[in-house]
Amino acid sequence: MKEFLNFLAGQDPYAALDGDDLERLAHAVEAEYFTAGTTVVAEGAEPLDHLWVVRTGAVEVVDRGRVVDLLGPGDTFGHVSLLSGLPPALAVRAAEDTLCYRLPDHRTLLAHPERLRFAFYGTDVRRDRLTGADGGFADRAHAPVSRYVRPVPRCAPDLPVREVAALISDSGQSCALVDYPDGVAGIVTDNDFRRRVGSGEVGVDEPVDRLVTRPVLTVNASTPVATAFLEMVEHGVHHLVAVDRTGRPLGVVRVVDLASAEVRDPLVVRAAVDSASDLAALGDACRLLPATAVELWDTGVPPERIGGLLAAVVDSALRRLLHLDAAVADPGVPTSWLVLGSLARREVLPSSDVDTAVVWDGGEEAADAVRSAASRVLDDLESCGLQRCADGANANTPTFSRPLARWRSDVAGIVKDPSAEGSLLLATMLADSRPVSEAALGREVLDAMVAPARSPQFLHALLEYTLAARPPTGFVRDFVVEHSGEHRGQLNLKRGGLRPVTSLGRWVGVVTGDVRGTTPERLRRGAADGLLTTDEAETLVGAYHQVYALLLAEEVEAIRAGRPASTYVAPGDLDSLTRRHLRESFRAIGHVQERLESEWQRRLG
Amino acid sequence: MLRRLTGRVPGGRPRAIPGWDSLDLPWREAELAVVDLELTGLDLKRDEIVSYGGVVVRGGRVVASTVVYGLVKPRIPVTAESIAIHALRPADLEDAPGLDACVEALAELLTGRVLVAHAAWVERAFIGRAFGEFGLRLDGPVVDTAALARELGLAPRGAETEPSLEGLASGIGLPLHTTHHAAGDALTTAGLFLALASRLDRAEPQTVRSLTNVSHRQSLGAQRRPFPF
Repeated sequence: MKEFLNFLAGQDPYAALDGDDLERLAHAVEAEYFTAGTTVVAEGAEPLDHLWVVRTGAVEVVDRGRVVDLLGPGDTFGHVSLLSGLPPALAVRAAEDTLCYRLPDHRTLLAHPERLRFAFYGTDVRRDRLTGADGGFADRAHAPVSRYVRPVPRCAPDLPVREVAALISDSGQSCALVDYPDGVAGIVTDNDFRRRVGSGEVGVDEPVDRLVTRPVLTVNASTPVATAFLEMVEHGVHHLVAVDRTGRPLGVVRVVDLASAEVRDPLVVRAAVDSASDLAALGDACRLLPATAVELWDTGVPPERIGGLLAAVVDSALRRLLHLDAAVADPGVPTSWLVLGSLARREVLPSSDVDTAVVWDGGEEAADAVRSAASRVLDDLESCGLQRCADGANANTPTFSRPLARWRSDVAGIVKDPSAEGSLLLATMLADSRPVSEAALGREVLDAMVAPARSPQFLHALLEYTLAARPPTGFVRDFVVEHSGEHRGQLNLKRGGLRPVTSLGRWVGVVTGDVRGTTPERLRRGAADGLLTTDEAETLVGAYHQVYALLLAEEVEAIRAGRPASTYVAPGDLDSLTRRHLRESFRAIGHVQERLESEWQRRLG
Repeated sequence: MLRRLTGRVPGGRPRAIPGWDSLDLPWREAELAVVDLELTGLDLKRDEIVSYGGVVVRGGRVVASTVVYGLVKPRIPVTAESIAIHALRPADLEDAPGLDACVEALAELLTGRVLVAHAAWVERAFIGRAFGEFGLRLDGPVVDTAALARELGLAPRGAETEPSLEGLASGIGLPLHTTHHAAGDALTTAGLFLALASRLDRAEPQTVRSLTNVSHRQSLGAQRRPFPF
């Protein structure tokens, strides 16, 4: 039964249930297996009296014969029919061999059914996402790369740069193939233009030959998508030229076409991570992340989606690593890994560290074994190109690895009396925590955090701590920038822009007892619960999106240039509209903080 | 209670559990009971059951609410080797009920249902012996997931050992329940059974009879091969 419990506890929306309701649900599971192609829900059948959760495998949602969505492990379906009492509008069939858990009507089973809030289908993007050539999950990773070949403009090497740029932009593509008399093709990408023409290194009237990369990396059109993907990782390129059997170029495949832009369905990267059979293969898959982030950015995927995609892949990489390391580093007690910070909120940037904590079910005597196993995992994580927390929030340290009983009592102590040094920092870190293994065990730490037994002193201190992260607005009209040191005249966007908003989101989470979700989701819940006005919440969400997008833009440029990313910007480098907008955002954050300060001090006082 | 269930008449014929009613049903329409036992060892002459777990498969689905699990106080000392596998120490079993409670629970679980187990000849032999002590007879179709795996080519045919339950389940991407725990292994076996029977359906829709036949044909039990834990 533990498997059912752990699985459900690790999935939205079931993660929102309390322990008793989770138990009820786990006991009511009925598991059914569907081989590929089998219908699970028929279109227009009797209204369902149950819903389904995918456990392993994948199912496709079919609308009048067209596949409109693909659902993987943890995804729920059938709830629309169950809740509406209407016949299912869309059919669901197994895209591969799939194990599903069937759950009865939660409204009669659970004590708090209202805690289950399901996502509904309906957006146009979702419905149009998987059409045409795209098939199921396994289908896509194993499909030949020829499916994704884009015909791109071709030109001669002596054509002026200016004309090639026009060719590329007229075609709506991001690169051109350059044909040479010797038959060995070259490639020129929009990145070459940005890097070398934009910098003045190559003039617009010079022949494109000066920009060309030649020979190009080619891939046979019949190569499976997954293999082509790894090829790109190995060589750190975003494009491959697809050739036919005779070596004749057919067009170009791009990283972004192989991965899906849909956050909850980043098929190929996740497939590469999930199928990694050793550390080397996992490292290859993980090293794909920065290039993928760049491509997603270039295609215009919304920044917060990119953050979610990166988080999903880091999650699965960590899970895969725990699985691979289980054989060599077994702590000997049930252990749950928690991710912390932006990764827990699914708001990561490509350069974000992986912050972790660990809880085990056992006594203090297991500490050494747990920590040495954790050290091994963190070392392996770094060999895959993901960095542990530079500030020490790591699962192998005594602060962040504790047996369950001690996490419980320590957290209970903090929420009663937060005066001990470091208490609030730890509390806020735990409020941003999410289990990635043994979810039921990991959740107990968080449950202790949001337990109703919190003292007014704790909430008071937490608000003070939250409001201490101020945006850089001063008495004068412009920004407060660093006055000395390396970043003189610059503005720390992460500390000054992002942190005040994420702190407010976290505060809302702790006060309402529901810390799930991203910062925008938390803030909007805060408005729904009356902690913030709708206007305030939307202002904060807007500010959050703006700052996050600026930070991500900087990271993308840093990846392209092969330099470390910076969280600093010089206000003078921003265009005036962005600068004004940013200043307005900071002001608005400041206003919300002031309002909370005066009002809540009174209420809590 | 046991007397009521078995209806044993002194000197009479032992009552057979379960029957053969469902033999020609498609397997999804039959009720099956997936059982796992933890034992002190594999010697049918002296070894004993220390715990049992089971779950019902109904309508082609593993029904979590039907899980049964219990410990049994063995009448012989538990060996260190077997403790290493099932992690049940003598102290854990001290206050456990006797074999009668186990027989009662399994008889109830198996009545009218088809027995499914991994390397089922072990469960069949030990349940059969335990039933016999209380005037019951285990007499019905038996489906063996290890045999189904061999039929599908997921485990080597003609090998002298049984394929491991965890290896098979994780090999085809199924979640593992608590391993070497009778209820956990019964749940894992149940999931494995669904996957294997569904895959056999692809070639030809399977009935209880066809699954039983495959189990018999591919069984190692007839030769009493050593069971590799």
